[in-house]
Amino acid sequence: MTGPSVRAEVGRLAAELDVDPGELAFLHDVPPTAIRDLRADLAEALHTRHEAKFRRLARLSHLAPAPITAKVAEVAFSPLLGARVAAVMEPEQAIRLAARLSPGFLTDVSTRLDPVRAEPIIRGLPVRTVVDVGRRLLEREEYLPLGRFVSVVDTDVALEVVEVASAEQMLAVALWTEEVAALDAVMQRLPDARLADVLAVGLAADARESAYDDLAAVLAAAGDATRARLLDLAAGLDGADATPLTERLP
Amino acid sequence: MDPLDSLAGRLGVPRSRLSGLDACSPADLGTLDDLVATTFAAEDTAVADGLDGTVRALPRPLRGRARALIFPEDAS
Repeated sequence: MTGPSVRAEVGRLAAELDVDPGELAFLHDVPPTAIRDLRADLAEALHTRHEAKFRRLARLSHLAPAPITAKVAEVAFSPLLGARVAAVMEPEQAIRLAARLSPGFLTDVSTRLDPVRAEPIIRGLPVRTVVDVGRRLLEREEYLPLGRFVSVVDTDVALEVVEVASAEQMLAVALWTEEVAALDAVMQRLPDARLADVLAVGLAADARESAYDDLAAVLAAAGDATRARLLDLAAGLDGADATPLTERLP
Repeated sequence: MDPLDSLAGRLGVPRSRLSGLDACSPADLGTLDDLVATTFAAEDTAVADGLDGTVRALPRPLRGRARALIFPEDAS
C-alpha cells in the first residue's frame, strides 16, 4: 500500500513535470524524501536552465514604463514565463509591477510560481492582493499552489483565504501544504467544529476513498500536537471509525 | 547510457544524489528520464515563444533596444 506521504510527494512531482500522477505510479515504493529531493533538483534545474534569459526579460522593466511592461507581460508571458521572471526580479520592482497587473493574470502566474523563491515578493504585496489571489486559486480548485503558498504567507493571511473554503477544499489545501509548521499554525487557529467538518470529509460513512487517503496524508504530515487533537476530534465524530486511520499513521 | 546516470546528468546532480531511486527498475528510470527531458523541451519552447512574443508586444520604438537586451547574442 502506498504511504500517505509518498502519495503527496508523487502528486507534487507530477505537477512539476506537468503529468498525471498516475504516470508516476512506479515511484510508490520510493522513500518520500527521495521524491522530494528529485523534485527540488528538477525545480532547480528548470530555474537555472534559462535563468540568464529570465534576468534579461526582468531588465525590460527598466526600459519601458511600468504600465507598458505590465501590458506586455500580460500579452506575451505565459503563466510559466511570468513566474520564472518574477522569481529573478528585485522584490521592490516586482511588487511595483504587480500593482499594475490584473488579478486574473496574477492568479495565472501564481499557479506556476515557486513561493519559496518569490517569498520576499509575496510578503511585500498588499494583504488584500494576496488574499484575493488565494481565493481565486480556491475558486479554480488550484489546491496544490495554494498549499505551497500557505507555507510562506502569514497565518492570518492563510486563515483569511480559507475562511470561504468548504470542508472539502480545506482538506485539499491542507494536503498540499508542505511546511508542517505552517499547517500546524493554521490548524491551531481553527475551531474544533471547523476541523471536525474537515475530518468528516474523509471519515464519513459515504466518504470517497481518495478523501480518506487525503486525510491520512494530512494527519501523517501534521505535527504531533495537531495530530493528537485531530484524532481526538475524529474519535468523537458520529458514525466514524478512526481506528483504521490511526493504524495507517507512521 | 544507464538511465540513472542520464537522469543525474540532465539534472546536473551527482548520481549519488539519486540513490533513493535505486528501488526503481531501469525501465522506470528510463521513463522518469524521458519525462524530465519532455519537461525541459516544453520549458525551452515556452521560453523561446515568450522571448519572441515579448519583443512583438512592445511598442515599435522600443523594439530595437528590447531586442538588443533580450537577444544579446544577435547584437554581437
